[in-house]
Amino acid sequence: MDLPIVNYSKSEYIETDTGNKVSRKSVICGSQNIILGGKTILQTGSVIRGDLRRTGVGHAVVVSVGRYCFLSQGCVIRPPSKTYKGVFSYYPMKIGDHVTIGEGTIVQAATIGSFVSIGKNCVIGRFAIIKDCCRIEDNTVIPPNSVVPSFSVYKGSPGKLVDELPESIQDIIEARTKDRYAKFVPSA
Amino acid sequence: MMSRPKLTISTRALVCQDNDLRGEIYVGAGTVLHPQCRVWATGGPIMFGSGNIVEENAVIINRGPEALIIGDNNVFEVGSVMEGMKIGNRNTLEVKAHVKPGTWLGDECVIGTVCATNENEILPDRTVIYGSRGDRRIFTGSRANQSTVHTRHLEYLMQFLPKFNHARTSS
Amino acid sequence: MATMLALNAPPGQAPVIQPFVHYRCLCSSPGPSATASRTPSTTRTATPTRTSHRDDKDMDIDPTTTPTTTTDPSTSSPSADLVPATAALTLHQQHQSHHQHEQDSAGERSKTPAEVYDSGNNSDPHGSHSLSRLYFCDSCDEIRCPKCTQDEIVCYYCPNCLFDVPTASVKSEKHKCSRNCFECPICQSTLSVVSEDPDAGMITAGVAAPGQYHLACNMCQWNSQEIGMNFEKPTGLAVQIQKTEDSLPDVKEFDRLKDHLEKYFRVHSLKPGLPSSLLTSIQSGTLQSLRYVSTSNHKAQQSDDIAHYTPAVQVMEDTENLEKLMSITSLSETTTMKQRLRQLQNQTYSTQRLQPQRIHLRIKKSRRCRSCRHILVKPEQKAQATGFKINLIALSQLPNITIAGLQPMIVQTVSRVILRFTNPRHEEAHISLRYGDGAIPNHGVVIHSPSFTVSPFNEVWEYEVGTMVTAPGAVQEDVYERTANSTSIALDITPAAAGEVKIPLLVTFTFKSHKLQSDTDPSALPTQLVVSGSKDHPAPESELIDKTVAFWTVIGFGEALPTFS
Repeated sequence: MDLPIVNYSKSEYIETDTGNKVSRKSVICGSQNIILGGKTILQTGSVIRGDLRRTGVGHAVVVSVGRYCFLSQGCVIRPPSKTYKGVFSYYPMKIGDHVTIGEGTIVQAATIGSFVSIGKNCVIGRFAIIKDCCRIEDNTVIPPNSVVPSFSVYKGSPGKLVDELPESIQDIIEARTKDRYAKFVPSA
Repeated sequence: MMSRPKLTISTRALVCQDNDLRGEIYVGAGTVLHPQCRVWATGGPIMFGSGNIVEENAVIINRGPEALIIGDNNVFEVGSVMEGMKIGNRNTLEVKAHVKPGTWLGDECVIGTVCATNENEILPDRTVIYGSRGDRRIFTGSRANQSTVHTRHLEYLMQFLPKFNHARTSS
Repeated sequence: MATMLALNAPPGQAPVIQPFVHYRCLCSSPGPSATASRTPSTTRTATPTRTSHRDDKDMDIDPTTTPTTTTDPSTSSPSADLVPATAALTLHQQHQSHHQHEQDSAGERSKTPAEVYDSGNNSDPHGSHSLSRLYFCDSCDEIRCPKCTQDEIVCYYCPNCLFDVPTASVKSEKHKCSRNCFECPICQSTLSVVSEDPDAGMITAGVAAPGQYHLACNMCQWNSQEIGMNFEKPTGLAVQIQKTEDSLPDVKEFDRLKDHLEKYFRVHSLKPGLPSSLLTSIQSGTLQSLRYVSTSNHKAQQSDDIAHYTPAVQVMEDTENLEKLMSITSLSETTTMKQRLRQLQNQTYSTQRLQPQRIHLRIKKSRRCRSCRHILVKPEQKAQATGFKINLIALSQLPNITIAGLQPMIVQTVSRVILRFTNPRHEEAHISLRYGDGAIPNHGVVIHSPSFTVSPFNEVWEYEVGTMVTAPGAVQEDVYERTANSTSIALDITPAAAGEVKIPLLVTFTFKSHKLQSDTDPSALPTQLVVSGSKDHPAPESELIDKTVAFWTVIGFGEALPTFS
């Protein structure tokens, strides 16, 4: 089935010049440290902690999100932290293009590749690495420091491989995220 | 309706703005409350020890008539819910963990991600609850690493959070 | 069986049947109850072609009979009339067997959402698949499903460190990672290497710090110090563990037995010993050699040449194990089945004897068409790379059919559905549709525009979202909507009976394609587009020719409510 058109109230969302649509009811801390790629949607209640930055001076990018991403309601994006050689620090996290993050999901991964869809109420542990073209099912817990290789479907707690994705998944997800962005329009 | 919370915040503790506090709350030295957390001392007061970290979207509720005494160096991660009666030192409630009402936690317990305790339970020291089915084990082995990490974490938060968030003072 | 409106079922009820679009593949491998439902198809569609390619076969094909082919382009309509008749029979039987199958397995298909992407299990047992799972061989011009393609292994890699493992060392490492990747014996999540020195934090590869190292699990807080396993350096842990693995008594015993029997193999077999790996022997079809070796074994026994073998290990009575089991006080001392079966060396009952296991390798596969042996999918050789060198998926070559609008279905009432056809190719394409009205139950279907064109795909139009672009040339009437590279048409459906509404639709897709340079040479790799030099001087081989592909699709629209009477 084709995706339905989703209307939002114009007063609730800010649209930037690169096409990002950010809800006013989302919590963005440290917005100068956050990069949104363009045509990305941040829904109500989503939280991005850009204030947890690396120790050190200068301008640092804490969270960088790619294009055509979709961060659903109530999701939390938080950079991961650890102690390395006696120094405690938060590390930058990078999210690729065409990534969907479901409602209520908490993401503390180090990197998320492109064309990834993450389900609802998931927990992605610290320093997890999710490669391109993966799918994380609803209610999955990915333990810290784990790696999700490309074209896998992970489910359960701790997340385990349950299925493999077909080679066409990249085209499918690309078309779906672009279509969803096109159908996310303000109610006139 | 929400009454003004009665906060007693020690020096060197950090309670950020933008969080939902109700009732009588005592915050010990070195404790950090991130923005967007919820601490409701509706039934009785809540007393934090020193060196605790309460992250955003964490919920601590005390409905019972007695005070909820929280020990030292505990970590309440994002989305965790604490409804228990007592909690000791150096425990960790991981992301979306749930401590049910009436439960007592000992020392150095770890309630894993998305796991829950039972109601009215007394958990011995060093209990680990993990996995989708809430498996349990008592862990042996040292966690000296953890306490060092924790101290460094606290130092970092004390240094960096005030740069981006306003701090509350005692009322 | 309570029928519910598919679109707004209340939660907590039985799973409702979702709409779907499935494409039928030629091979149509039979499902569990499908053996009775095969009837041979003899059809060719009536569309003329300008090439010497046969038109694509459409219906199910009985694997035991060869279909008759008609290369005559002016196929007469009598054969086209045969289509509905055979369609009627097969679809009827499939419908019955599908219902039976549904009752047996509690509706495996109706549980999962039928988006274009779905999991591999969500396909009709009689060979129709969602477009996401299909491939299209452009030298045979036919749809290929995962079952009629052959897959081969391209490379092995570790799913944790993403390190390519050279094929030669895969067997000696027992298909497991030989670096630092271990899984927790308790919860099977990945272990991290931790130093005793708290200031060093977590170890990343290559950093050597003083102190002893051990493995720790982030999920269940297990660490290898509980079983006394410590390491001197943070790298090469698998080598350090391998020593303990090799000293197990059954491994030693197996080696001794192999040494003892090996000399007999060499004496009696004419072929040079066992094949190097079971996998290569299966791939190269030399299972014959294995059978040969086993017969030589038989001969060896008959000739009584083998000396008597005395095992070095005496198998004791299991009293010790029994006593231990009887004295267990808490369940946490025994292992679960899952934990036990991960450690196949000794499958211990006691949690104290569980050891971290090395992580199993994963593979990258390439796919090949079974009939013409051309490669359909070839991934990049490096494990870290996600791309493909060749990727002939059906999604990029056949029109993608989606349901753009759906009215609730009620028996004996006309409902309108909108089907959207998206053309992935760079040239304009022509589509014609026909409803297979021999199906039972026969829903009344009226196709408003049975023949139409779809505009080509153009990346430039991607940036102009939602533009309505009319195709150059003929403007078709009765088309519902035309956007950048898709055309939507309307169908009126009158469900004949309550229950799931599925209609078979024959889709004939005519497109322009470059004639393959290596058309007559089946062993060469196919190329999607022959490089045609500069635009001013096109190479003579790469002219655009018309090709036609016809295939059946099964489109489900959910359930039809019975009328209120």
